[in-house]
Amino acid sequence: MSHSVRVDKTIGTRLIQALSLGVVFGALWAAQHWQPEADTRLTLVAALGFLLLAGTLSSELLETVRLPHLSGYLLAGMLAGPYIGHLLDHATVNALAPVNKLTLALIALAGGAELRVASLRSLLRSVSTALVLQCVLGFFVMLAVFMGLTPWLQFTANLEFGAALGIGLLWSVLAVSRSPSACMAILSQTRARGPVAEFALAFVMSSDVVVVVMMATVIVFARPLIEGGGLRSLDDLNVLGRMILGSISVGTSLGLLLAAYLRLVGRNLLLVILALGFVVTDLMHYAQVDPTLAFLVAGFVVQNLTQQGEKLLEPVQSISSIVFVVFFATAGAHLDIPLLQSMWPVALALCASRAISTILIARLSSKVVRDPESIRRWGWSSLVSQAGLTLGLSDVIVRAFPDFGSSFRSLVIATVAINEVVGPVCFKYALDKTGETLASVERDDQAVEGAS
Amino acid sequence: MNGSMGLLLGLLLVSYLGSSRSGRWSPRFGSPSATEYVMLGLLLGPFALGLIDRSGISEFEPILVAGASWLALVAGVGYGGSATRHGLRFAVLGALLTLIVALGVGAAVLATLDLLAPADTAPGWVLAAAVATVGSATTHQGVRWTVARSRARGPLAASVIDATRASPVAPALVLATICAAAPGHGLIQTTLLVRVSATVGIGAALGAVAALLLGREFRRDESWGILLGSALLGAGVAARLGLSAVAAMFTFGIVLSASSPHRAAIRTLVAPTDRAVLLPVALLAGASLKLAAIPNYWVLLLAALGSRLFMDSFRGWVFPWLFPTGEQRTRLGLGLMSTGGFTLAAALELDSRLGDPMGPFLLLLAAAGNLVGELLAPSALRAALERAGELAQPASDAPASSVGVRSSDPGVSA
Repeated sequence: MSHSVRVDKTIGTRLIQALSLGVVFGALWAAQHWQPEADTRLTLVAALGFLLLAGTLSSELLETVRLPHLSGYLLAGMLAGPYIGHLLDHATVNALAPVNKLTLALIALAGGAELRVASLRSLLRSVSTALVLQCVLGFFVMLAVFMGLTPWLQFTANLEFGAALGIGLLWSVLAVSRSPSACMAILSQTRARGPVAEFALAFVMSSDVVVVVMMATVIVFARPLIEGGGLRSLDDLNVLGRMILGSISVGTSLGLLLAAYLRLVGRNLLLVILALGFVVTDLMHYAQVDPTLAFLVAGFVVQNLTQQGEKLLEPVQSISSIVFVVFFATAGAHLDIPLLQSMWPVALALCASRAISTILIARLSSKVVRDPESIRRWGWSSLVSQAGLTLGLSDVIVRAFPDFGSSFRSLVIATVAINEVVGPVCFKYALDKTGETLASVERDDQAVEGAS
Repeated sequence: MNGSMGLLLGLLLVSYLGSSRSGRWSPRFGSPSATEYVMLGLLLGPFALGLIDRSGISEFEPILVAGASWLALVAGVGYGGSATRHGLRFAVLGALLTLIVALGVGAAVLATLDLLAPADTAPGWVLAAAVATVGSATTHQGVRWTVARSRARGPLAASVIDATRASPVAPALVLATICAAAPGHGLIQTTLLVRVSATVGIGAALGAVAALLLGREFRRDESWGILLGSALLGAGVAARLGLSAVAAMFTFGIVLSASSPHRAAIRTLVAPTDRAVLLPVALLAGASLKLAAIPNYWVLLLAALGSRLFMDSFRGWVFPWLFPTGEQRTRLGLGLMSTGGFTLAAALELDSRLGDPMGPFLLLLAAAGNLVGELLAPSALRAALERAGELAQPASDAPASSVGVRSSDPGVSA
């Protein structure tokens, strides 16, 4: 992944980082204390700088207890955010939303470019079996769990069985969604290489597409259950089909254009990627093309149909190292802690059952296809995280079903909060355990020796 | 695609052009102060074609604050560019000379104000100080640009480069004072001195933090996160408190460059971003120009430009006595009149802090100053270098590296 060289950090370095983190928090506190009312346009610059610096420093400090960088970014955002430290207000955090657009484009582009046909071919059986079992079996397990918990949920307690089942169907799709951003962030930090890392990447990126299709399909069937009446129309599926085909064709064209640019010009890639993230994403929305799928295909095309894959990956990873900090620190600031406090028993039950079913299904899948030992033991580890994709899908549900959507979304936020914190820790732990992060360290050491 | 997206695309395109020109073609194309982009902005903005509207400009205000602050940071980092004691002494003398120009321009504006006494101005000294801020600094980059374009090499070329290195110091301090004195800041209960010190303190503290965090090992990817994070935090905190983000970031750059062992690597890292940031900022500055808001200030504009011309002639006249480069004393004329990124950044900040009609007037003055400087300064400097016998033989005879630019000056030597 990144080509930086590992440097061991001394206690002195850690003390400097802790002191600097204090200064950074102090600076924002002072600004907030002396000028509590300020225009969001002015607070935005300070917030962006704060999240970038505080996220980086927190991640460095948490590195000492072997937690992933992502946890540090989340922690910094959480501590300063509108629910705990009140150093950043809601308006400012919401104004950072454009960063999400850029991050999702980068993740999809990098994800596609990391998928190499050769490694996909070797993982095809593992990934496809796991995908089918996690999406089908996991879906029904989570549906059963949700239905069992409906008496304790405020928005389903008084519903008839049919309506509750409809909501359960929607919930179950969300439960089988994963987090491409968390997966990419951990892989980007650790530069891990090996069966677990490759399996995680291939699975999470493919599941991203499958879940979008599942959601559109389930909405069609859940609507008559929730709102009464029969199946109204299959137009949504028609639109979905066109959207998927459109995204693939736009992604292929974009990939070929990118490859041509990389080959013929090959400069100022930072600005090209910024334009892709901000402007092209908006154009895709306007053309009803799914940007995530289109960028995924574009990255895949550049990597596998041309020889420009590495040229693309290098700048994407350089920008990612900055963008991920802001993305996850903002996500941390968004974490609704009071909501989690009020819903934690149900949220915890849902998260625990999701994690357990994910682990068991992963074991089953590995047994069926006789995966290598590392995937058999740790293949589930990247599947616990949830983040932006799940929240994005919950927004779709809120728009489709405004009657219960907001309460439903609160539950989603509460469970995502738990999975977002726990999931990356599991994945990083698994990569450490399997020695796949160690492999990257050894590569660095060899690079240093080679250079010296 | 809505207007904001169109504007963003345009800014990215302009930035693309800027970063393309920071490479090997940089000394051959465009103007160092990006005046043509101010004009383009004026043409596209609400004053002329209306392709960029006020709401779009307002939406991009955080980018303007961040961009202007970054330009100041780059100028500050360049301050520590001279490795020699001799170069440092020249830089300090150059800063003092700029202070004299600023005092002269400020005095001329005060005198003109006494004659005109416009009814709707803030206290005269604020306007005079603000005009002095945007009408005194010489752009270091502009001078290097001209020297590089002329393929000049010699003691005079080296002197002008060293002497302009610290040119924004005095204007930055005045800018910090004006912003600290302007209403609407968060430190209302403190004295002016405390507020100015806070401006400098924010920049110095975060510059020191950045230098500490960059540590002994300089790793490019991590360095970007630290530099961007600390710069944006510093600029944002200063702007939120109503202090000068530009002055704070100039201080940040100086402290970072002075205290980090990686000063050369940092300069190499940030110098190429100068044009990529300057061009979109110049475009937005041009679009922000509210010419209709300044009907009574045309005489003042002429007075400010006239006094700048006079004071710069004085600077060019006195230069060979202050910076002796041999037996021959070559006068520079208006050779140091180029203004650039720092001036534009200062004008943008003053525009947002002082409001109508003073703000637009200062922005217009900066744009006009850039244009006049662009027209007069390069030819005057080139003539001086020619008189000093420092111009190289025809381009085909001289390799690109033989210009009178030190290897420590990133961005031009390429």
